[in-house]
Amino acid sequence: MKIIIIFISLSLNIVSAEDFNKSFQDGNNLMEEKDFIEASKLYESILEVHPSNSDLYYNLGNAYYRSNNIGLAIWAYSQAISLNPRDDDIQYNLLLAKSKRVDNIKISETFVIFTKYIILRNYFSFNEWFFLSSISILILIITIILGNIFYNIKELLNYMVGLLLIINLLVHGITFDKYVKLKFEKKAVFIAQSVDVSSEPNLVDGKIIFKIHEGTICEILNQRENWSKIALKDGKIGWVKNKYYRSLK
Amino acid sequence: MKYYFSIIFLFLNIYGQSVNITVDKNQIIEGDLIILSIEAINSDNFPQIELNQINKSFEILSGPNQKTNIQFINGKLNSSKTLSWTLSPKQNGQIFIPALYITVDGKKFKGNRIPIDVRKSKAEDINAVFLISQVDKEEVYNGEQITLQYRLYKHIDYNISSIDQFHMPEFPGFWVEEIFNPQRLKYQKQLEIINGVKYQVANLGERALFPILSEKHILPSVRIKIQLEIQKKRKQRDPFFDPFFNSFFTETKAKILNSKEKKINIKPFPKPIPRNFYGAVGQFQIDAMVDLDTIKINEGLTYTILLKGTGNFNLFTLPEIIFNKSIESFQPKDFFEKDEFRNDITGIKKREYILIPRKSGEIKLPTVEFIYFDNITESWKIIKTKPFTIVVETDNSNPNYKNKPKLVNQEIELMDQDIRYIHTFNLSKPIITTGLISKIYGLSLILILLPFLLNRFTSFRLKTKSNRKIKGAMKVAFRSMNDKNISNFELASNALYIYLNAKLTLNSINLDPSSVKSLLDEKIRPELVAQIYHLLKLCDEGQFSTGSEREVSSILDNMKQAIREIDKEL
Repeated sequence: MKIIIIFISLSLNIVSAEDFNKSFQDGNNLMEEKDFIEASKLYESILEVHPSNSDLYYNLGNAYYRSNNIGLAIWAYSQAISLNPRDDDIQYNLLLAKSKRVDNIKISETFVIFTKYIILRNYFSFNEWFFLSSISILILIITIILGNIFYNIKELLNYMVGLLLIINLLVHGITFDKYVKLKFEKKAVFIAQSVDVSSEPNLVDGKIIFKIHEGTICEILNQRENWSKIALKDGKIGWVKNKYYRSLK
Repeated sequence: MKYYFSIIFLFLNIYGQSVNITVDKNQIIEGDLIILSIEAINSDNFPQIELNQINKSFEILSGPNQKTNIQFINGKLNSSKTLSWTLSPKQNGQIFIPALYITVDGKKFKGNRIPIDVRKSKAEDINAVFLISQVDKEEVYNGEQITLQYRLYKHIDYNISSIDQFHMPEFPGFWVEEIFNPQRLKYQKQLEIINGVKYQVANLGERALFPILSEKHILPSVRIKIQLEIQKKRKQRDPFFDPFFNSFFTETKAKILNSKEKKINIKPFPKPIPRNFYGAVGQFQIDAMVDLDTIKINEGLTYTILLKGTGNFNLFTLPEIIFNKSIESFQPKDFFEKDEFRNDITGIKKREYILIPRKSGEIKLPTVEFIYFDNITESWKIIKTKPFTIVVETDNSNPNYKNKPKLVNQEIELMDQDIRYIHTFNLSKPIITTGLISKIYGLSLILILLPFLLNRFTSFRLKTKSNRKIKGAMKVAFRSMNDKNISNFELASNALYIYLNAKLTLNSINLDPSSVKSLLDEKIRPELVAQIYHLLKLCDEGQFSTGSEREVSSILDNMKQAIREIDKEL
């Protein structure tokens, strides 16, 4: 009975993977036919079932870029780059889409070491960091076991254990930092062309304190009914309606 | 003295039903109104009529109004149903309400035509109240502003009790801008004197008209209905005269006021007309400004063009600017701030460009040239903005632009920028999954626990070794009996010795029948000891002599049985 259930679930998986690829190719054909709006709708529908594929986000970003939705294009490329951070095409298109933004938010300068750390952290995706953590701990344990077996090279292996311990701490630390960022830091991209940011979560009492444009990335600090408290990289804080942005997962 | 005419036409009087078509007066002055009534007597329904035929000579201002009247006269019930319309004659002289076809309760009636005599207004009527359309000029250039005002003149001795809502007409051939739209009738403080008569003047609405290319430029006639109060003439001075009682000595008269149609002549522009003329007519000044003169690469700056002055702002656009290829410009935004306190359309037209330099160095923003026609000096004018130079610095601080494709280098600039093509290959499942990572962590955990587990297992085995040996003694002994190369007697005695050695955990296996007997004494029954001793002796004899051959087949079974019994008792 168990074997039958496993077989059915496996065959279902195969069918869904085939459908997935077929829909993806249909979307690509629509892109070839310059029907970018329909292509973006099709890619979005695939995303509902398979939300973790960087190629899908990348193509969706292209569809949005071609249909002049720069905010949504930046959102899709950002999703793609978080899954596949070293893909050259994604990096290039994201950079180009960001250059089409109106807003230019000035970031205060930080320590060089911190900048380097961010570059290192973003070099791998969360899954890749997690994988590196598991591999590094496996190597450490094997080295400890070997040290107990081969007494003649025990001294060398002890040095290696020390080094591997430091690497483990570093890799696990970065993985944890990445996890915390993914889990607790809510970021979003503005998809409306121009958004008035209010001082309060209503338009009656609140004043319009600044204006932001499509494609600007912000951090969501708090949510209240249809409104969200946002923070920009330069420290500006205000309230906007939820419909104006799309959250980055 | 008021004349009241009533013309009654009796068509039919069968079964008590009749229809009357009446007008309240058939001699009127230009601008006066008449009321047309159709009364059906003793009918079940209101009369039905098509009035399209009277539209040629009259304008229907209101109606039909319905009225039902029921009376008892000498015990007899009489009823009438009346429809009435307010009509305004379209022309002077004798005009006719044509013969009307009326249907009452399914029966058809035909009336006679009714003559109406429309006299021209007397001088005193003209002076009482009138409407004019006033323009500041009647000959203009295309795009030049004409200020049109509808003015109501009223003799100071007359009062207007009510006035219909004034609606501005359509102005074909003109672009229209609203200047003034009154919410209620309000007279100017200053009286105007025309032909020695004082008038109060009210502004009914003011528009700025800009002629556009069209075949005709006509300001159409407008009409408005007013209720004019006219003082009744009193023959002698009334001792109780008081303004409070004025209403008792006035009557109200409905009047239609018409303004005259006006034609506007369009003058041709002096030639030659400049090539870059976009239709601006008036007096203008142009200026430009930037919010930053030094900027980092890929940062944005705002470039604003300002056009100030008076003229037809809504009929032209500012010229498009072509920027240097190293600057990316976004769709500009246009604004117009109108000066509300001036009748001539005056204000500031702004165009804002957001520019992002993509290359470092000095960048020049081009001069903007604007051509317009000055309608005062009647000449062409060219105005220009001053040029700007922007210093674009390289941005070294932004990590996003480091180690990335250099979007600002010359090659990319020459080839233009575009996104890269879509990924067309089949989507594959990711290799690194949380499942794989969990397995690696699991393996690591197993490896780290393995030495400890092995140690625990070995210790356990060592601890339980003697117990296992005791428990397995009989099994080991029986297994030793399977060797086919040794004689049954030797196998039987060896099996017992192996059994005892394991069971009693003896250090040596050198046993003989006597030592076995002494080992087992007091541990098992004496009969069983004797039996064991006997069997062992038999085995010795069997090994070393030939007297015991008949026992060779049963010795193994006997020994097995003996071992089982010892095992039960030990």
